[in-house]
Amino acid sequence: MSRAHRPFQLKKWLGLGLTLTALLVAVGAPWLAAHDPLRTDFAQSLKPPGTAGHVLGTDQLGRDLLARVLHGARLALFIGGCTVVLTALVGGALGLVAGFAERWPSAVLMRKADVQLSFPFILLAMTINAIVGLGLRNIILSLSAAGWVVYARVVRGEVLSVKERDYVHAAAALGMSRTRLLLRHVLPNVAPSIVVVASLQFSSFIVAEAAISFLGFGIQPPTPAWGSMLSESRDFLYVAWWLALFPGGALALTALGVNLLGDWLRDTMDPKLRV
Amino acid sequence: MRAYIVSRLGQTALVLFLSLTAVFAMSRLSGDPVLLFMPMDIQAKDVNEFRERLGFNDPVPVQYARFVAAAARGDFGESLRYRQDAMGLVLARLPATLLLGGTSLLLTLAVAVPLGVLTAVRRDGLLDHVGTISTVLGQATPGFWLGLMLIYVFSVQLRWLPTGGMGGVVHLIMPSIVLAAFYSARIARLTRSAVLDALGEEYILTARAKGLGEGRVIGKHTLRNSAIPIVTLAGLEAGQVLGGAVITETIFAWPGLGRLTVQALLNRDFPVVFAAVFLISLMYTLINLVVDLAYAWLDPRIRLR
Repeated sequence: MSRAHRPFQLKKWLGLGLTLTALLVAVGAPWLAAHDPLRTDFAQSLKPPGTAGHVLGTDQLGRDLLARVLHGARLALFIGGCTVVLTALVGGALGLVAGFAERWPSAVLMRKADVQLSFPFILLAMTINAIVGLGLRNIILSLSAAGWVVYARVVRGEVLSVKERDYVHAAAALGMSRTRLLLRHVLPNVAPSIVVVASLQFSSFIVAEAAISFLGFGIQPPTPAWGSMLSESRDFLYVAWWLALFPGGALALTALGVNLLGDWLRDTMDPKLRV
Repeated sequence: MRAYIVSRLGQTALVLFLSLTAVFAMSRLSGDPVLLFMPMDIQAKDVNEFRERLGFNDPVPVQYARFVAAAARGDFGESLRYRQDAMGLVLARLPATLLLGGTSLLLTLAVAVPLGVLTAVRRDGLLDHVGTISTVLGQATPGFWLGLMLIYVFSVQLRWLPTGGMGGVVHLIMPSIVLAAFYSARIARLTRSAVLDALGEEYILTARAKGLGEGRVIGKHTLRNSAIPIVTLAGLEAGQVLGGAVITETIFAWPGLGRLTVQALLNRDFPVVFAAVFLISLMYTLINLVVDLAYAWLDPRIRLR
């Protein structure tokens, strides 16, 4: 692309910086946090930021907000990461098969995708959670069940174009089996799209998990998830603004970093891709 | 054109039928649907009676046929909490959601399209950088957090706006801004890239070469040609606006479809949940049908394909 100057570099470095920070915090939360995120201390409840020993203040039960925000990163990235891997594997595989096999598997899959896209993503995941039950494993599964469609669509589209290229025809003419053709020639050529979609989806999964936990169908208190912390903060908005500001700020910065990184990846790897 | 309309109508009917099937499948996800369709305080001895009365002892294909036949008449059963027709309850909340969704859609178009055009025309200028940064921020900021922050500033601190509920225009301001924020960011970015694409075309060069004023070049030749991707995205995102309404309505206690759905989910009032989910899917499918027909009408290449 011709406009490869300032804004792009900003995207790359800000995206990388924010994402790596979030990752480091997620991995290092137990060592970075000076307090146990679950330990309550009623003598210290609702202290504002800057209180000795509590940099970001404390919540209604006297739990250290910094520790809770740091541990929230762990949960958010874990859930986002598992969902991205799961949806990439399932959606990617289905998209490959649908693109390669054409005819009815393709038609069935695409109608299924149409139907699924007619339900708002969050509502679908939330309804599944309400039916099958709450908890860490179920939220990952429901987000994946609602989120694989995008990969399937993009990958199928890419496969349809890649398999008409000359090198694929040449390999087929040399007698390569279809499975081998798919794995050796088609898959490596659609892999960049899968990576780009995954990075762009990552932030929407993190935000979706927070939204679902916020509405009460995801991670439940007292586990420190950003969404459920924000939900609890609503009752204290008049007296403790910091309970709403910091978890949400951490969430927004993480989403921003991952988004920028995904944008940058798309610009460098696959500029024509529209997701 | 007629053949195109007929085939799109057929596809729409198929998608609606499949989405009813999906709702039916969801109602079977937990294994024992009786648990989803009976009051929470039910006694164990009544479960079997309920199972018989709701028809869950029949073979699944029979249940499915009965479900689809009833749903086609708009009958999703009775709300377990309100003892009223579930679809009736959902429809009663629809106008509030349409008011909120319509307002934020207007807000989006009024802000995002001009912003996208200006940032494309003044590419790499100050406005472009400010615009790009704000759209990136707008996309990354979760709506429910933006909502809480707005409530804190404008209701708690400044006391200018009500924290929630429905009433006059003042009640509409914050929810429609929150709902429009994410949507506007995407539309503005897409408008920018669509306008940039169009600006690179040869007919723009021609228009400039024959001495047209910049106003006409942008207003007529560029905008008309970048309208299609914008209309497409606006249609595709309509479903996500309805999804966003679920969260926005909950934060601002807006008595619409989204809030009803969340409450119904919390109360495990599944007939209402399924009626609402289906209605949302129906609206989304119809919006997309209208969008498709609109550009077949705008662009002959599509209907002749």
